[in-house]
Amino acid sequence: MFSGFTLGIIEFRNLVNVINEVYQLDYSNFAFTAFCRRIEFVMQNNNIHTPSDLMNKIKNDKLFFEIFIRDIAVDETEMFRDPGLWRELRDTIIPKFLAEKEIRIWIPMMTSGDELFTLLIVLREMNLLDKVKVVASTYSTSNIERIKKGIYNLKKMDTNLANYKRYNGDDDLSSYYKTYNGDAFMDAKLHEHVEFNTLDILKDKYPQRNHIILFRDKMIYMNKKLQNDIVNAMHEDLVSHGYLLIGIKEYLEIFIADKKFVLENEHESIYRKHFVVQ
Amino acid sequence: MSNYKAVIIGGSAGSFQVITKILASLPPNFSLPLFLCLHRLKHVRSGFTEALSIKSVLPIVEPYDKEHVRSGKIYLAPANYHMYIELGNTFALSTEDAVNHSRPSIDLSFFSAAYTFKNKLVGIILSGANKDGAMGLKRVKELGGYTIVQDPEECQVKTMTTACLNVMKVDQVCDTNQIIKFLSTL
Repeated sequence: MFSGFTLGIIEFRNLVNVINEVYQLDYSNFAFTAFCRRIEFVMQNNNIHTPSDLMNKIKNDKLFFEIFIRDIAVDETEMFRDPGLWRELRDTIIPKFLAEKEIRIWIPMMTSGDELFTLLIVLREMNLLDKVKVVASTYSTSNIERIKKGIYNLKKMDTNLANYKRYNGDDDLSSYYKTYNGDAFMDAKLHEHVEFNTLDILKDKYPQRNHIILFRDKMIYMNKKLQNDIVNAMHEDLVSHGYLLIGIKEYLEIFIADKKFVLENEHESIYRKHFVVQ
Repeated sequence: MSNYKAVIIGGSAGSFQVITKILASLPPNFSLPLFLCLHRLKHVRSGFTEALSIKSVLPIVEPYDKEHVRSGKIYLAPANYHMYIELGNTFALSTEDAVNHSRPSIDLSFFSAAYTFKNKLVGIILSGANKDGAMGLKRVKELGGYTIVQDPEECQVKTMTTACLNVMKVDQVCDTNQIIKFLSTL
C-alpha cells in the first residue's frame, strides 16, 4: 500500500470542516502530514477515489462514521515497545506507589490495545492486577469490544515476542495467548478488572487523581497547540508526584521550563508532576 | 552559492561506509540542513548516531517530534519512527505501519521533504537491498528538485539505486567522490 502525499492545505481544511460539521470531531490540530496519510488510507481502504467523494460519503452515509474513526486512528505498533520503559515502570515507578490503597493508571486515547495488554502483563507478573485500577479510554464502544476480544495477527506477535524477551530475559510471551487460524487470542482474564470508557481527554473531567498516565506516541499526531492543551489536561489529572510516560522522541520543553513536570528519565521519556500544595 | 535549501540522503545495506566518508568530507561551513534516512535495526536506539559521528564534520542529531530544522546540522531518522520534514521547517515523527518493510521509510521522508522544499531540494540515494526510496526520489524530481544516485557499479548492493534508475531519469549518477564534490558546491 503506497501513500502519495497528494493532499494540499486547502483540501485538508475542507475535509476538517466537513468532518467537524458532520461528526463533531475536530481534526484541525492533527499533525498535517500524518493526517493527510491517514485520509489517503481511509480512501484506499474504502475504495474512495477523491477527497470530494470522501466528503460526500461522510455527509451522506450514516454508517460510515464507525469505519472512518477506526481507519483514521493510528494503531499502536508493538507490545513491549521500548522494553527499557516497561522495566522502569516495573522496577522504579510502580513500587513508589505500593503503599497507596489503590494505584490508578490511565491510558487515554487507546487505539489498538497493544499498550494496554503490555501494562496488564506487567501488572500480572507483579501480582498487582487486583490492586491497580486500570482505566482505558478509546474512541468508540465498538473499539472497546474489539480490544476485549484481544485478537492480534500472529505475524505481528513475532516482534512482540522479541520485545518481551528484551524485557524479561527467559520468559515467553506466548503463555499469555492462545493461537488459532493465524491469530493470537490474548487471555481475557488479563482485562477482567479494567474499566473501559469512551471519555475524551479534553472534554471530560474524569478520571482524575491518577498515579500514572500512559500517553506514548500519541502526541506525535498533534500539532504543538493541541499537545500543550492535552499535557495541561493530563497535568490536572495526575496526583502530585504522579507520572506521565510519553514517547521516547516526544519532549515537554515548556512544561519543564514552567516547572509543571520534571524530566526524571530522559532516555525513556518519564516525567513526574511537580509537587503541588493542595 | 546555490539555490538549494536542503539535502536528503537515503541508504540501506552497504551505505554506512559511503555516508561516513561523505560526512567526513563536508566543508565545515556547510550550511544546508542534511537529512539522513537510513534503514536501521528498529530496537537499537543508541550507537548508530555515535558510530556515524566519529569522523563527521558536523553534529548528528536524531530529532524530537516537532523539533525545528536548523542549518548546518545533520539529522538522522530515529529507529522505529518515520521521519517527515514539514512546512514551517519542523520534523514530525510517526509510528504508522512500515512502508517497503521499513520504518523509517526512505520513500516517506523523501516524499515529505519534496513536498516541503520542492525545487530547493537535493535528493541522493545510495546502496541498498530493497526499493525503498525509488518512488521518493522520483517525487523529488517531479517537484523540481535535483536527483542523484550512487553509481550501481560502486554500490555494495545495487538493488536500491537500480530501482531508482528503473522508474525515473536521474539527474546524475555519481560515485562517492563525485557526490562529495557536488555537496561542496552547495
